[in-house]
Amino acid sequence: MKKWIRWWGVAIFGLLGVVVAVFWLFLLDWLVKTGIEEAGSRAVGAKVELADADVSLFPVKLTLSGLQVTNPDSPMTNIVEMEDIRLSVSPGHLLHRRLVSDEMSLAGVRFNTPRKTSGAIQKPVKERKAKEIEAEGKKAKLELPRIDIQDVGSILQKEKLYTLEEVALLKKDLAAEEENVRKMLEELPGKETFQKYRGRVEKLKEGGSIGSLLGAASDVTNLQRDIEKDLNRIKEAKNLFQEKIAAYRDRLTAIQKLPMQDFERLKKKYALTPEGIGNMARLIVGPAYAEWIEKGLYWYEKIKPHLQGKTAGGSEAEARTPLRGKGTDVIFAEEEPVPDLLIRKALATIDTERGAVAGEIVNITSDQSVTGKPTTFRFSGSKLTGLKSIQMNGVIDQVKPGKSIAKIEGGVQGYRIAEFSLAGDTAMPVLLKRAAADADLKVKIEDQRVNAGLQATLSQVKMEAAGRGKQDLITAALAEALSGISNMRVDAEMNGTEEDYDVSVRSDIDKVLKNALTGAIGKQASAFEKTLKQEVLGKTAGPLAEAGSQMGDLGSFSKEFSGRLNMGQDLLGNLKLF
Amino acid sequence: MLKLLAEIMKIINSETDPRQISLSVCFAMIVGLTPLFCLHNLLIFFLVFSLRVNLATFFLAWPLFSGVAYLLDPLAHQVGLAVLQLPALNGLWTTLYSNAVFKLEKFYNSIVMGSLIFSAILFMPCFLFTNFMIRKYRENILAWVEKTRLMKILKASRIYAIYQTVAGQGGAS
Repeated sequence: MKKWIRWWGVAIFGLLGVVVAVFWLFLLDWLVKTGIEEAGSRAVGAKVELADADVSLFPVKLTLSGLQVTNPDSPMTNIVEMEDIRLSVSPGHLLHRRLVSDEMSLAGVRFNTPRKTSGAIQKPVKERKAKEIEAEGKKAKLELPRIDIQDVGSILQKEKLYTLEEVALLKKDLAAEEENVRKMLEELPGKETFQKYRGRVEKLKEGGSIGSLLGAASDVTNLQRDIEKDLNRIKEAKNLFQEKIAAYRDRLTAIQKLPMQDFERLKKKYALTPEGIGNMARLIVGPAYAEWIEKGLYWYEKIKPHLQGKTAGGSEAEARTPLRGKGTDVIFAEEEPVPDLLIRKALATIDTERGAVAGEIVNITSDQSVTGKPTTFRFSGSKLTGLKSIQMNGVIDQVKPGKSIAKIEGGVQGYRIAEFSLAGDTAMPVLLKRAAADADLKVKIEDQRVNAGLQATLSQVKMEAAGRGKQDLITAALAEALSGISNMRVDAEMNGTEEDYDVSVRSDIDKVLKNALTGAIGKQASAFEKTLKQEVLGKTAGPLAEAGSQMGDLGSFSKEFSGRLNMGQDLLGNLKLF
Repeated sequence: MLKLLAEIMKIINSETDPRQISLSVCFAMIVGLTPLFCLHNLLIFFLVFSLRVNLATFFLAWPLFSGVAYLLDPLAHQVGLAVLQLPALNGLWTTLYSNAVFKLEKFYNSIVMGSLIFSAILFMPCFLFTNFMIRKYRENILAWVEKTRLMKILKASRIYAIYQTVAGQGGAS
């Protein structure tokens, strides 16, 4: 035996083992810290940071402190921050790079805490833009009907008045017509022509001999024919002029009706739209409710992929093809299958503004299909600041591959609400100054379908409409109606897919608010209409009067035609005396 | 290369027990043919250090077998995969797969399994063959080689000078 054993070799081997173990032990904490930070950052898409990691070996325990998980969509905020995490780890599974813990404790859990430095990991611009567009699209879904009123002055500044355009055209045409008439009158026989005719008549009267009388008869006939010819020209011109004048008068009459048409058009475009007022509770509560559910869905979508796992865990041997030259791993069903991550029970204390809420999460795993158990959670708190009690139970079930069900049920009792903005981004912001709420929430997400229901009873309510001037009739009516509400019950429901859903809200305040707002909108609308009418008529009255005056000036040319005709007729009368 | 050849010559020509040399060749074969970071190789290293096998032979033969492993990998993969997927052995593999130690061994990898099978099959033949060859060399060939014309030329060459240098330093066994 002695001949075959090399004792110094055994010693060297042992020494090498000790050196490696000591080196590994010294680096272990750093390796765990770096590993968690890197793997976490990859999974979340933003920085995951740890203040410290401590691994003890006998028994194997892991203590993490100062965990900060950045919100990838808001890099200056942590989604979650945990002061202290302690878990006992199964060493056998750790050898297979599997983290299995029977119990974990989480202390000092806080959500949405501010960060000192950005936790962003650079993301492709395209991806970021797509997310922003998606978010915008979702926001637009709960757009409220517009009930705000615009300033008449600004409406008239940006809108065209057809009256003014038509008046301008008419004035231009009248000016051109006046010019034409002047030219026509210059060409027609005027005072001078008729004076010449009068001279010829006087000459004929002076002649006394028979011979001269016979010659005069012929001259009279000629003169009579000349005068009649000129008179006919004047008559034709006068008739043509009168036809045109009549057409211009018709045009002016039509234009005089245009201001009312302009008013009606603008009224239709800018008048108040009271559609949707019948379901005021939806307008007030709907946006906040939808926002909460959307936030929940967003985080559910983030968590979901981490629970689905990568293996089917079937009983049949399954071959995977890894990198070239590395062979193929054949996966066999394990007698006691264990996923890469399994925390059988986690006890957590969440610090909120209202106080601490404690609870447990059971079966946190990276692959529910392996454990065959869903992740469940249960949290509760009582006698908190401004909150009598809160409970929240839920289950996230992805045991069957390709199928996911999440159910959350919860409730709050005696929840004191203060200065809470409802429908904050909409045309009709409402501030819930204070209230005490009892509410029950049930959410079920099955595959892509969401069904969420909220039943809330609010007492000691004080609400007010915000963001408008005191003189606003709608605000005044809304404020008055809201001020009269001291209790309210709200039933809200959300149905549809995660991308496309409907929110319905029913409340006993609907009737009260509808009556108040319908009356106010009516008053506001008539005030708006009155102002709009005054402004439109006022703006068009001047140009219309100018066009009418121009029309009168043109009409005065009719006298000139009549005067010339009278002169001709007088001369013809004198000639009949011969 | 000349130094390597001289090292081999020196070991074979030394007084070392042929079994010590043969065993170190066999251990080198296992470590060389199978992927390095497997649990069984830790055991092999322990045996190499703790048993009086020829360390120099081990460290010389290891890279040679590693080179051979590159050529043998495709075949080892096919053999390993076939064995791992053999229905008759499914129960055994399933049991081993649930065992932490065997899982660390990575026996479920086709190349680990294939090359381990090769190594196991070749272990005894390799030991016996190497042993036989060293004995035969020492008994018959060494004396004859010494007398050959080629050896005389070699002795006058640089290889012999290197060999003498190496032989003068002494080898670990």
